[in-house]
Amino acid sequence: MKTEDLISVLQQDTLPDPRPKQVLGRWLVPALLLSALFVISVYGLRFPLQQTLLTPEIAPKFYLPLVLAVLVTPMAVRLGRPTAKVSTGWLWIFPAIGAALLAYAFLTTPDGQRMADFEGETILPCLISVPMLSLPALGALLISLRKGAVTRPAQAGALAGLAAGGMGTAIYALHCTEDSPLFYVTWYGIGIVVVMLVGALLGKRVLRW
Amino acid sequence: MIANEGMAMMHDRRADWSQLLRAANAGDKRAYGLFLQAVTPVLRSVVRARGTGLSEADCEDVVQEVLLAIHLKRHTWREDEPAAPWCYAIARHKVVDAFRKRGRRIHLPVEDFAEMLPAAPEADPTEKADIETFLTHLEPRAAQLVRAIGLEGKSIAETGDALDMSEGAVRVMLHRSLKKLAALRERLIEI
Repeated sequence: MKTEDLISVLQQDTLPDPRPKQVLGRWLVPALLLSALFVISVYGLRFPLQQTLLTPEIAPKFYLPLVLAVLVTPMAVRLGRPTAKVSTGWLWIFPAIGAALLAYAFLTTPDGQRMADFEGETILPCLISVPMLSLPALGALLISLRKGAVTRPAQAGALAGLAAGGMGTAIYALHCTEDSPLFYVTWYGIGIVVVMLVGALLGKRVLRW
Repeated sequence: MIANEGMAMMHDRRADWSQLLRAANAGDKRAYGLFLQAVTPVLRSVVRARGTGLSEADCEDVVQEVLLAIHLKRHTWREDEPAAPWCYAIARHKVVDAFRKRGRRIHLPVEDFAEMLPAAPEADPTEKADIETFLTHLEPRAAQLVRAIGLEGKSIAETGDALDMSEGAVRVMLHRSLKKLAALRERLIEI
């Protein structure tokens, strides 16, 4: 088939595909509901929940990953367009805030208490739950990016992972009762980085077209 | 002087392509055809310049692969951005990918597309590029449908009559077939 013939075929195909943004709307809400329902029904919400949501030293464990997710999701989706470039340097503000929280907690925690706070009692559940609760959202983001034309698959995947990691972590924080920044900055942070790396690796494979 | 003419052409290209693609999105099939015809010679120049050692037929296959990608990803173009850089970004990605599949690593700055003047408006040199091979992997009805439109120049309605399908069914099958062709190329290409 000559190129001119191919062009006349393409010309007749007038069905447009949905954009990544539209696809994301369809998948992300169910993905988040799935994770949230899992936490509510299997883990159980922390009681009283306002302790997490309203106490200044505890609140960052919910709001920080939430803000991360809200800011990074549009960046990831933007990379569905082939000409998109995103600047990621400012994201270092998140580890910086984490470090500040760690320093604050270190200084305000008595000597003998620091190690106990840092280790908590749920390192393993936390390190398993954060990636697990993030996976549905990561799937939704990658599915929608596949509808786009990603020219930087690793970066798009990493940002999708970072955003999904934020979502999964915020959801997990509704259950978790480890309230020292020594615990949650460290282990939540590691969990989010793991999801980011998984996103980058998956992105390289599934975002090819 | 020549450089100036080149610049003027590139400038026109940006404006023209956007206009054509906007019209295409509004449902103007003729404008879409003109857009693809305008893109093709630029692609052909870049692919040939990079594909030293590839036969003309192989180069044309890469051109067709890129055209198919531009078509299937056209929803990622936003009407408020110029169409040419968008086109170059897709083309660059697919050309690099196409050469990689053929065992070559190439460095292709996106500027190459902007600076490339279109190849002389000669016809496609290949009577039968390998999209034909891929058609045999589609289900027979779908292959028949693509051939009717491409080779016999039939419209959607005429194809529907010939294959005893509704126009809507023809449209859906055509769209799916093109996606399938792109996926097959991704998997099956070998040289």
